Formats: sequence, C-alpha cells, structure tokens
Amino acid sequence: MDVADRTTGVAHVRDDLAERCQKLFQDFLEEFQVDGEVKYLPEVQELIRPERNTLTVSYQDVESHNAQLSTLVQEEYYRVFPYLCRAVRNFARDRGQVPPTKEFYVSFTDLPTRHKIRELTSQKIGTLLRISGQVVRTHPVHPELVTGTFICLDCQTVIKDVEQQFKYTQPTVCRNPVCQNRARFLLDINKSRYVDFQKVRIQETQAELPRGSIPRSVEIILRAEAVEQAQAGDKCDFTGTLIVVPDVAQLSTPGQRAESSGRQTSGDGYESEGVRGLKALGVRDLTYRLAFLACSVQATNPRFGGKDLDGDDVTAETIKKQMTDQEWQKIYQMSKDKNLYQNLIKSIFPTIHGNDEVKRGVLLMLFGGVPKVTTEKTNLRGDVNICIVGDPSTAKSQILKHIEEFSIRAVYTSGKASSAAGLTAAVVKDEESSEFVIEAGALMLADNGVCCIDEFDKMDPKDQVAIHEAMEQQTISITKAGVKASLNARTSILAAANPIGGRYDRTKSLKHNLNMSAPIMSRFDLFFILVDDCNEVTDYAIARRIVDLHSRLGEAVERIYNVDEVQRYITFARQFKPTLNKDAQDFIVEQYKHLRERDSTSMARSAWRITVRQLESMIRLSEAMARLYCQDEVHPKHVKEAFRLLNKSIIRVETPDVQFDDEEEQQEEMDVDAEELTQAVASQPSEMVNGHAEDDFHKTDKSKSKLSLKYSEYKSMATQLVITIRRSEERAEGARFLFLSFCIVVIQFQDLHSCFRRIRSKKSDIVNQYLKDIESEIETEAELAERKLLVDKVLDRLITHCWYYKDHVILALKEWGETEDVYTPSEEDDPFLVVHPNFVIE
Amino acid sequence: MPCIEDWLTNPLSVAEGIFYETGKPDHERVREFFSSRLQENEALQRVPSLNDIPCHLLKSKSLVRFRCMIQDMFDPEFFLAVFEAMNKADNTSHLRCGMYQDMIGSPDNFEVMLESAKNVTKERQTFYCVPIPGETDWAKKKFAGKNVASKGHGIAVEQSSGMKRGHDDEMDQDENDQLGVVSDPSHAETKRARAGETAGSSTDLPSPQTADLNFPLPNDKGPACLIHVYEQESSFKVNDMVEFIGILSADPSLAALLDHGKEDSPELVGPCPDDLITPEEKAVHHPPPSLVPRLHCLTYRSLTHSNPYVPHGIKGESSSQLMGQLAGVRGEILSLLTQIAYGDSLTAEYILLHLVSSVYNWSGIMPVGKFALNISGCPTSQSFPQELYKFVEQVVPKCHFLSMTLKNMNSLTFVPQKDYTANRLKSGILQLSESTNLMVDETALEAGQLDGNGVKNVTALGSVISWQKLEYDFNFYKAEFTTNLLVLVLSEGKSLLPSDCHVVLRPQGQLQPAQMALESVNPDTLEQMQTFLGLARVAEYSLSAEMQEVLQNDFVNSRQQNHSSMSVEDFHLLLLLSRLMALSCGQTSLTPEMWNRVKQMEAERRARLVSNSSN
Repeated sequence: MDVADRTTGVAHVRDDLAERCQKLFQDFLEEFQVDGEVKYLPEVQELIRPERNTLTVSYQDVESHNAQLSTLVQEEYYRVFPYLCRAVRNFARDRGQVPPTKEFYVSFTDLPTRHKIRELTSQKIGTLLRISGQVVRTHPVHPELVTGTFICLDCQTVIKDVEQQFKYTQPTVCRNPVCQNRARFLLDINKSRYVDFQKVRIQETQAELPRGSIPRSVEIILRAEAVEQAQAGDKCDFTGTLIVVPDVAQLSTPGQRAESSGRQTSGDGYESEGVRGLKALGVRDLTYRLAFLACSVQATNPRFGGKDLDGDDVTAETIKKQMTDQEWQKIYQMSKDKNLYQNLIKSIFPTIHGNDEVKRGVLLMLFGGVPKVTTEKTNLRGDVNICIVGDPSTAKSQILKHIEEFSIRAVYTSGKASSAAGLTAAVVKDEESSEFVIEAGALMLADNGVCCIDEFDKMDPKDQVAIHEAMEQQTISITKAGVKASLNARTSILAAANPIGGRYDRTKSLKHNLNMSAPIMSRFDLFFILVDDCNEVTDYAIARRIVDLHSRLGEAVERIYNVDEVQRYITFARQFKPTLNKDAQDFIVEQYKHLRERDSTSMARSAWRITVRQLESMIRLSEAMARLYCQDEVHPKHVKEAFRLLNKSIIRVETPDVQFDDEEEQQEEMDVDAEELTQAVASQPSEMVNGHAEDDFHKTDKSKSKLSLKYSEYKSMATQLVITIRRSEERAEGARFLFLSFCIVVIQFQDLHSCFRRIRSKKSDIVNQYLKDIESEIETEAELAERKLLVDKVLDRLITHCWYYKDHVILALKEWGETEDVYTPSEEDDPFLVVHPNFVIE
Repeated sequence: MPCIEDWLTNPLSVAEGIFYETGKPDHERVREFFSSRLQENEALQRVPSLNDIPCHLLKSKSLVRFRCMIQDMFDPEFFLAVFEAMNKADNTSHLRCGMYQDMIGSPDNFEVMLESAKNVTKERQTFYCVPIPGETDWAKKKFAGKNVASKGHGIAVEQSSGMKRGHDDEMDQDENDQLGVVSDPSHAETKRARAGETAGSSTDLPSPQTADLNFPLPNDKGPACLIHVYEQESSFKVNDMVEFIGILSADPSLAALLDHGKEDSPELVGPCPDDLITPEEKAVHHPPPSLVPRLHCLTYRSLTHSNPYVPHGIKGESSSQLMGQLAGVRGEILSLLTQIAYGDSLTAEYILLHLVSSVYNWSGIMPVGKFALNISGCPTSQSFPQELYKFVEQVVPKCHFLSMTLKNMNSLTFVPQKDYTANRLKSGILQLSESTNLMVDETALEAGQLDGNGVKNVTALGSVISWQKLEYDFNFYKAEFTTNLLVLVLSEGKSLLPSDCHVVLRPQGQLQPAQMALESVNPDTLEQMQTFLGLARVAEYSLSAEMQEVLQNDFVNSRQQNHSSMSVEDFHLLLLLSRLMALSCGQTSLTPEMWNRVKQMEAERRARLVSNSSN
C-alpha cells in the first residue's frame, strides 16, 4: 500500500454504505421542503459566516423524508458521521462561497427516544442516541487539532492532512520514500486545522436514581458549536453516540504509540488504540472508558414525573406526550376511579390510622389551587397551606414525613433545629437542666413544592416572619452581605405544631392553645386539631395496628397505587387549571354568605372573622378538588367538599368554647359540625343557622336549651347507643345460631322470618335499654323524659343525618331485609336498628 | 477437572477452560463453578483473605477474598471480553478470553487483533470497597484465626513474595530507568514500609496512611480494594457488606502502565490526556495497585451481619436453639454493665437492650426496631463514656465512639459528599454498614459556636436517630439513603439529639473501669457474650395471637384508667422493649411475665424522669 496514502488518514477502504449515505443525505438537504421552501437552504447559507460551522437537522425531518436513511444514520451513526459532514460541506459549497479548508459539522435534534445514563450499554456503541442528565462538571474549551500538517525534521517534507482523533497522531512514516524518519516530525501550527472542544460530565438526576445506588455519570465530548452550551447544574439532552476510549489516557505520548494506526471504520468504537502496548513490559491493558460524543445539546424538556415541571408552558397535552402508553393508561384508569379520593389517601398514608380529614386536606394540598394574576397584576397564590395542631404522639410528624416522601419536591425540616447551610447557629447550655439547645438560623424553602415544618411553634420568630412572607407573597427576602434579595418561594406549607403546654386544652380557643401570631394563623387555609383522645374502640384499633407493625415481618406496605403512580398522577393533574362554573360560583357565594352570617351573629366569639381569605381558601380547595378528578371545571360537588373541609377547620377555630364539634380524631361518620348537630337535636333547622350560638339559644327557648348538648356528650351518648345496639345484635346473633339449628328441622320460613324480627332491636327497645343503662344518673321523672327525648333525637340524627356524608352509623330497617334503604324518621315510628357494618367506633 | 490447588492458585486457568469449553465468556458458569467449590466453609477458609494478609504477600492472579463494605460505585467500564490473538510466528489466530484481568501478558510472538470482528466488548462494574468500618479488634482477630490460609502461610508466602519482590524491584527500576519518572511518594512510602516488613514476615498490614483511602472512620486501617463485578444485573447497594471472592490483580506492572505518560504532552494539541481524566480523578480511579489492589469478582456472599461467631445465614430453629444454650450469659453481661454504670442496674438493663436492637422491618417510612437510647446524668468529671465504650468494643463486632466536641462537630465530615473533581463519593463518619453501634459522647460538648458544617452534622445525626435516613450530598441534589445504626447518646442533661428512650443514670456506687471488669471474665465467657449478642440481633421473634390480645387489652385498659398514662408512642416503645427483652433472655416469643417485667422497668425509668425534672 502506498505510504503517502496511509498518512492522509482518510479511510483507505472505500465504504460504500457510508458513501451512499452521504449521497442520500445530500439529496435530503436539497430536496426536503416545508411549505414549498427547501428547509435547510437558509440555514446552510448562514453557515458561510465565519463563526458558524454546524448545521442542525431535525431527525424527524430525515425520518419523514427517507426512512431508510434515517435508520442508517441511527444505526451506523459513528460510521457515517464524517460522510454526513461532507454532504453538508458539498451542499454548502454548491450554494455559496466557502473557504475550501473550512470544516462543516452536522448535528441532530428531535430524536424520538431518550435514554437514561444507566441504560447505556455496550450494544449502543456507535448508534445515534439521545441521553439526558444533569451537568455536574464542565471543563474549559480547548482547540482540538482536527487535521495536522507536519514537517519532517529530516528531509523537510511537508505532510498534510494527518487526521487526528482524540490523540496526537504523527505520521507513521515520512512520505518521502527515501527518508526513513518515523519519529521526528514538527507540527506546523499555522497550517493545521482546529475545532472547539469541550468536555463536560453529566450525572443521573435525582428522579432517575434507583434507591440505594450512587448516581452514575458519563463524560460528554462536545465539539464545534455545541461547546459552552451547558452549565453545571443544567439538565440537558445530548444527542450523539457512545464511544469507548482507553481508560487511562496517555495517547499523546510520542514514541508510545501503539502499532496500529489505521482508523477503524467499523461501527464498533472509534479508537483503535484501546489496547495499549507497553512493549517493554509485555502487558496490555484491556479496559475502556465510556464517553459520549455529542453533536447537540438541548435543555431537557423535563421527563415526565421529573422534578422540574414548573414551567408555565407545560400543558397536560405535552405531558401526555412524554408518557409511555402504559403510564398514560394508568393515569386514565386512575382518573376514572370512583373511589379515587379515598384510594389516593390510602396509598399516600398506608401506615397512619384514622385521621381521614387531615389526610384529605393534605391530599388537596398536593394538588393545589390555581395561581392567578389579577388585572392589577397582583399575584394570588394557589398553594394551600395547612397546619396540624396536636398532642404529642398523634402521628403529626409521620404525616409530614409521608408527604416529604411523596411530594415531587418537598423539604422536611424541624422548626427547632433548622438552619440554612452556611448560617451559624449557637449552642447554648441551659444552666438549670444542663441541656444543650441549638438556636436555629434561617430556613430553606422549597420553591414549587411542599415545605413540611415540624415543630412550627418552636421556630424562631424571625423565621416565622420569613414563612409569613412566603405564605402570602410567595417570595422570601434574604439580606446577606448588604444585598437584599427576593427569591421565589412558591411553596405550600405543611406545618405541625404542639399546643402550648403540651396538650390541647379544650376549654381554651385555638388561639390560646397555640404559640403563633394571628397573622400567621390566618394564612393557613386549614387547621386540623389532633387530640390524643381516650376511647376504648379507637384504642383497640390503634393497639391492633401497632401490634401488627411489631409482629409482622418483612411485609411490604399495601398500597392501591404505588408512589410513582401517585406522583405521576399528581403532576399530571396539576396541569389542569379548572375554572368555576356558574353553578359552583353560585354555590360558593351562597356558602360564603352562610358563613358570614353565622360569623356576624356569633358576636365576638370567633378567633377571627370570616373574611375574603376564607373565601379564597374555599376557591383554592375547590380547584384542588376539581384537579383531583382531572376536570377543567369546578362543579358544586367540588365546592361542597371544600366547604366541608373548611367548615371543619374554621368552625373549630371560631367557636372554641362550644365543644360541639369533633375535635377528636377526624372521624367522618360521627363527625358533624355544630350547626347540623343542633339542627338535628332541636329539630328546628331554619332557626338554628349558627351552631355555636348557644347563648342566643338559651335566651330564646329555655326549655329546649338542654337539648343542645355538648359535642363530647353527644358523642359519648352516640357511642353508648351504638354499643347498646351492637350488644343486642350480638345477643341476637347467638340466639339466632341456636335458633337456626332448630329451625332447620321444624319451622317454616315464614316463622323464621318473624323470629328474626323479634331478635332485631327495635328503636324503642334501644331507647329503653339505653335509659336503663343510665338509670342511676337520672333522678327525676322530668329528667327521664328529657333524656328520652334527647336519646330519640340523637338516634334520629345518627340515622338520618349522615346522608350528608354518605355513611350511616345506624341503619334503620323499615322492613326486614331492606338494609340499604335510607331511613327518614317521619316515615316510620319504630324501625329496627342495626349498626352499619362498616362503622368503627372511634 | 482442575484439582483444588489449581483453582486456588490459578483460577484464571479455570475461567479460561470454561471459556474454551463454551466458546463464549460465560460468567454464570464460572460463578457456579467457584460457588460450588466454595460452598463448604472449610474450602472457603482456604482462600486467603485480603483482610488478614497484606496484599504484597499474596500472589497476583490467585484466588483471594475480601470482607468489605461497598463505599462507592464507579461508572461501568467496558473491556474486551474476547479478543483475537495473532501468533506472529505462524500467522494463525485464535480467540482468547479477557475476563477477570486488568491486562494480559502478551508474549512477543502474539499480537492482539484490535479490529477483529470476533472481539466482544463487555461491561463490568467497579466498586470501591473498604474494610467494614468500625470493625472491632476481636472480630478481626477471630476472622483471621478462622482463616486456614493464613496459618502456616508463612513459608509459602515468603517464598512467593520473595520471588515477587525481585520481580517487583526490577519492574520499578525498569520503569524509572525507562521513563525517568519517579513514582508518587505514597507509592515509594509503601515500598519502604513493605521492604521493612518482609524481613519480619509479620502479617501486620502496611500502613498506607499517607494516601487518602476514603475510609468512613478516620481510625480504620486495612486495604481498600477496587472490585470488578461481572454480573449483569447486580443488586448491590452502597454500604452493603459483602465478601467478594475473586482473582487478585496487584501486578506492579499495572502501576507502570498507569504511571507513565505524564511527561511532556504537547499543550497545543488540545484534548490531551488530562482532558479525559484529571489527576485527582486518576488518583482515585487508578491508584497504584500496591495501595489499592484490584479484585475481579468470581463469586460473592452478601453478609447480613459481621459477627464471626454467628454462622453465615443462620436462621430459625438452629439459632433459637443456640441462643437458648447461651441465655445464661445475659446475667454476666448485665453484671458487667452494672459495674461500669456506677452500679445502676436499670441503666445497665437498657444498655443491654440497646446492644441487641436492630431495625428489622421498614413499614413505609417507619423503621421498626430502632432503639436510640439517651442516657443522661453522666458525670462529666469521670470518663464513664470511655469506660462504657471499652466494654462495648469487647462485645460487639462493629462500633465507633464519637466525641461530640464543638471542634469535632465543626470539623468532621458526617455526611458523604460527592467530589466532582475526583469523581468519587467522599466518605463521612455516618457512612456505616448495617447495625454498627455508634456511641455519641455529648458530655464532651461545651457551649460555643456551631458553624454551618456543625449544624449540618447535628441535623444529619438527628435524622439518622429519628428516621434512620441520611441524605448524601450530591451537590446539585441530595439523595436519601436508609441506615441501620444503633445510636447511644451519653449526656449530662437530656440530649439535644432526639432519642427513642431516655434513661437517667443514678449512680449507686463507684465507677468500675472496664478494664478491671473485663479482667474478671474468662475468655470463654467473653466469647459466649459476643456470640449471644450477635445471635440476639438476627434471631426471629414472634408474638402469639393470645399475647397480641393481651397487649391490646393492656393498652386500652391503661388508657381507660388514666388517659395520659400511655400514649401511642409509649406503647410502641413497650412493644419494642419487650421484644428486645425477650430476645436478650434467649426467648423468641413474648410471655406475659416478660411483658410485666418490661412494664415495671418502664415505670421505674419514668419515675426517674419525673423526679429528675422536679428536682
């Protein structure tokens, strides 16, 4: 073979496939038209400018033009790349004045599939790929020698166009046949050609990282116009190909060159010197290192479910596009789930018992309302803030921790020891107890996420102010080194606080129970109060759960939807921007009026007045509710749920002295707000608008005043009634069993029927039984009558009222067998009562 | 079939044999071969361990094992699993296997055909492994004692090492002559250390302390190792304890291969080697093999515990039986602890329970079984924490003592952090393997300023105690890793760190130095203690249905009597304590007596807390 030929570095073997590809690609450039114009012509003409050299081609264009070409490019990318560049050069030369030595490059974008760093395997070497990752390190841009011009130091022959590939390659031998020089050459810097070169390293993003693994990284080699496009911290997509380079590079060491020098033209790696010779020692290294030779860099449009879905231009449609079919199907299926609300709660908090209202509120917080900008350019936040106040050991921290686990972007911090990195905190020794205390600094917030703050009440007042700003303005101001900066902090706050004195004091208002300033308190949309209440049945349930936790081994937590699915669903649903429809608007207005009226009649008893803030909260919650079902419109039913949640929270705060409401653990079935309770008990719905207006009530109707009973009383009474019924049911059950065995032999069906009738509890029986139970407490006959009336009302309420919550505590059987019917007290006087099978006494 | 000596001393030939037999690089077959050979414990003991025998005394390319913790996972590497070799003499070519080696000896008459289509490129993973952090001396000794290979290894090793030394020196000289490059100082240092040592042929390790081997704990010694794993789908996680068995590769010529090429790289060429790999990165990823040997993993054992007395993978019947036999030793441990704890038997009891605790289940985000203990009321004047640690060190396989001084808190690194320059995970004190005892001495804390690093450290420690989670710092984001550390905090007042259980120490007598207490114990008993504590941690435990009923009723009743007498958390703690109590008594299920005993103990502890706060 001719020596001179070899040294030019151009592949000496004709690569037919690649050449055909070059031709096809040139055809593509010339022929591909959009709207009658040759799409890439103007861009190629741009390339004539000295600073330009790279033509960006959409892979999808190539695919639509010539599927064969596109497949070829994808599969044999590394092999055909120089030919594609040559096609661009030819095309450019045909269309304009181009310096003959100028190099052109091609870069591809819009590759349909995207790979993770972990998916790069040796099979993928040489093919066109798109990978995404976070840039963690960038190196300065260097000039890279593309082709070198050498001068032989022995005979001064000039050897041109020695191709360089990632290594300094001298001619193997002087092209002058007479000269035997193989080592001494001088590079003619001025006559050699260079290209910009930069190395960056990308790493797996947090979202892609499998649990318990260290993130993987890969070096990216950027050339020509692709340099300086990625900054450390950016999440980018790189299109190019995987190549292998020798693990320890020492390629440029003159005299240490390996024996082979011909450039490899097969698709399998570019580097012919992967296995280095170290002749002296007679050993060879066999390892390679991965690198990714990228031709184009683009900011990642976030992979679905990634942590960066915060752009305003993201719509549900674009998200749908980024999902796999399977993912999309799951989301569709979820949005059609009738029990979605409940199922999501179960999936997010599989280990927390009860507390359903808190869970609901927190779930809605994850969905959030729609942020708005008014005509005066004021921002109205869409984030829902929630505060959970409760006795120690009521699973507050767990709720927070679960949210941190679940939310797309969440920060968990404890008010006591939180501090932003870099700020100092002082260790102070308490003289009396000799305990050490850390005085906290400022706090970091999560933009576009949830900030879970445990022990909110223990937080430094300065930080509380910062939180205050964040909650309302959605920004946070930082003064540091004389510069005042305002940062975006569009975050939902989920706070947990302990009441003053450790335990919630029911005789005091929320305000007095909490070490928190009123302005901050008013920024919370929802307040939940968890009281460590003593109740036999709840205790049993809790004990059961804890014992279970300790006795079972290695069992995974059951979830209806797994973490990924819920996260995806929430991200998807959050793209909806539901608006209130007419009905919903009317409904909100009505409810708001309702609240206001109640507020005004309740005089100065409320912790704060119902204001526009609560109206805003109601709207936000309704929007969140609509989002939960992926709906574009807010319907009255959404408002209803929002109103209900709000009611639970506001009323509690409003009427702290009247213990009508359930301040205990949030039990849906028994949980009724004060207003409705009074209505039921007094059977005077129209007058009893204000549940907390006990005083008014006293004045207007003294005889009935006793009928409005404290909630705790109501509750204990209800529980007792339920237990009474259960007991008689159990008795009946036993009897029935005996009976049945007997029946089978003798009695006809009809008789059996009547037998059962007898052993079911009639309402009157229950009342009597109950009164008998509390006999000792009753002294006068009048009191007995009163008690009877009361019991009647409570029972009615237990039966009827719960239609509102779609849960019956006690079922009234009009006729044997019709267990499912809703009973209305007026219809029948003495129905049979059974406890709803699903009801759990809290 | 190769005989035993063959696969021990020349495992590569076995792998090659399999390669020629199947015609492809079949890791599965190789793994099976070695696994089946090493199934017998005795056979395994014949394999020399890097933990006990310094690397320079082992022959390169022989079969070795290494008991370690995965500290970092590097990016995967590609290598030529199969390559075509051309015989220069007669121009015939044949395929050779490139698995399980860093480099191939290439005799002059062979030429590697780099562009052959028959070459197969494969991928392997590389883990950076360190000896199990905090491993106590007795555990190390016991492991070493078990090792058949190290006994009577003297002569054989000396011979081979003698031979190797010659080779080695020659190499180094060659290298220096040829390239004029002085190998880096740490290399020279170890060489010196090595030279000094071969004379005495002691089995102590050379101390390559000049180099940063990235051990989580500053005082740890031993070799670090780069493990190449050939499994396609390996489920290794960082901080896993594993015993890797594979082919050692510590040929000094590898260093030569790595070392040269530093000389004049023409600046103007642009992408010179320094662009592809920085010096810092090279130091981490390609340290001299004398410092960090390579091990090509053939097979491995995942370790669930690191107690040499507890058989690997012991379960159910046999463990409970064994435990029953040793239950008597509980009293001994307790009495020793009581002596050290100023005669306070209640505190001693809690410490004992703490020693047998371990997270045994994750329920969602809840680590079940976590028992972080805070003992307050430690007199600052005396060295109670140190004395207690001296004892603990003698009975548990892994532990670390952390003096919580301001200086330590501000200067030490607790949380592993990614170093992007060197491209490695810089280790921190809290990067420890499963069930390591961590004793925190808060009595050493003084009032003063905690800087940013200190606050981060305290937060990290708090997070480990409360949630058993640690957020590794990857600069651009933090990734959460679960831990299973047993934290015992000794403080004067109530600790600033959270805890599951707080006990007030009530000195009843004088502090007995651990040394004295331990001297009274005969070695057999000590061994029993070590075994017993190890067994209790892995033993199975169950609650009978009746007992569950009793527990529930108890909870409900006590709440009925007095609302505040038992919170949910108290119940949790009681259940946990009763589990630990039962296990520490050698029982695998809870009895009502045990339950009452625990309740009584808790009542006493609480009474102390109350009286303490009213004082």
